[in-house]
Amino acid sequence: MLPLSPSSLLLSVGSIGFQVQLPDEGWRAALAPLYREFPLHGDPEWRVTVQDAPDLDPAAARWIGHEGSITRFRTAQYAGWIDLARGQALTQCRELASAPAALESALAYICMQSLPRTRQSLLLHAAGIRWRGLGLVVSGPAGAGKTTVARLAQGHGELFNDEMVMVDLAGPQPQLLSTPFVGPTTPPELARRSNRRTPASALLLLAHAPTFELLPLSPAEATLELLRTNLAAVERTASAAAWLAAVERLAQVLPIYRLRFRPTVELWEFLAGALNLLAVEAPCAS
Amino acid sequence: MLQRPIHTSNVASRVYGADAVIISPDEGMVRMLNPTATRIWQLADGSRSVEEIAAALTEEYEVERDQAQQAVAILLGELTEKGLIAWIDA
Repeated sequence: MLPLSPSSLLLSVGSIGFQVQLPDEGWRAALAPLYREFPLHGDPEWRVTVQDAPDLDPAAARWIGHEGSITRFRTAQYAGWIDLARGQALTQCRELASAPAALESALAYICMQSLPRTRQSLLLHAAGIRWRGLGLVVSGPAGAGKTTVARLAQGHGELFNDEMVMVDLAGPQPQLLSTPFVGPTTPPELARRSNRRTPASALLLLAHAPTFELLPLSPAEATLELLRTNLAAVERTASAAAWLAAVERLAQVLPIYRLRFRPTVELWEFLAGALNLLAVEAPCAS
Repeated sequence: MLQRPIHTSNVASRVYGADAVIISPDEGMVRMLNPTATRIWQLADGSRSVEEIAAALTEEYEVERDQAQQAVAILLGELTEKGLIAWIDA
């Protein structure tokens, strides 16, 4: 175990261990409570440095580029690089308030690239909900209704995360795992940084519609749909190959549906009937 | 010299049933091929010439040899232009 400085955090996300070096103990005191449910017990694989950089250009356009094993990124709030070969990353942010977004952006990118290659897992842009003992992965492009369904889940199920979840495909039963990643568009009342895990039961790809409908998707259709919201996972050829293999495994072990829905709580009544029915019919609902 | 088509090293692909999904990170493009194109993509693995791919198609589909050869040549030509197929010496 490496000696830990008083301004460091040790985190475990998706079983990937991170040592996060912060500018000082004040930053650590501010950030540590956010991630207290994701402690690392063991040696980190990754060293991520967060730097205070008040001079970052606030008008900078969002940008990402790759050269060899290094990915560089920049937004109006933070900028940095990730070296996938060396297991190191640096992210600079203009102020402490933007540090969670800066850190989580780097960690999410690392998970997205590494999990399919090293853990038979996927990080997906999706909400995760435990409902009636079922682990639902709810995905779709911006505006498709992830946040709407997350809101509708209140009082009906437990929201794991509104923005990003992991699906662990290593065992015979896929597992839905929460993450500490809160997205820029996540409403405060839906922000979650809780560490939860439950067997995954279905992946629902959302579309707004005047009525409710649940349609099984072929693996190819599901792959294309997931690519619409997870392009960052396939920006490198080696990562793309591993991601496609993981999605193929996902489609083998988890029923994937197109869910057309209208934003009312009748959704849960509809799903109760439709999932029970389709669970019998779906060939991959093992 | 006779050449054989092969997937370029800068693409990742997967065949799900009869449909291939091809990701080209350099272009930032994702493509899905129809079942016939998927079969040609599968056969273009560097071990067969255009003629041999066309011959395989005539055994699997109700199609004349000339017609199959033309379809294979057109598709592989398009995929070559897009940087998805390279050619190696037989």
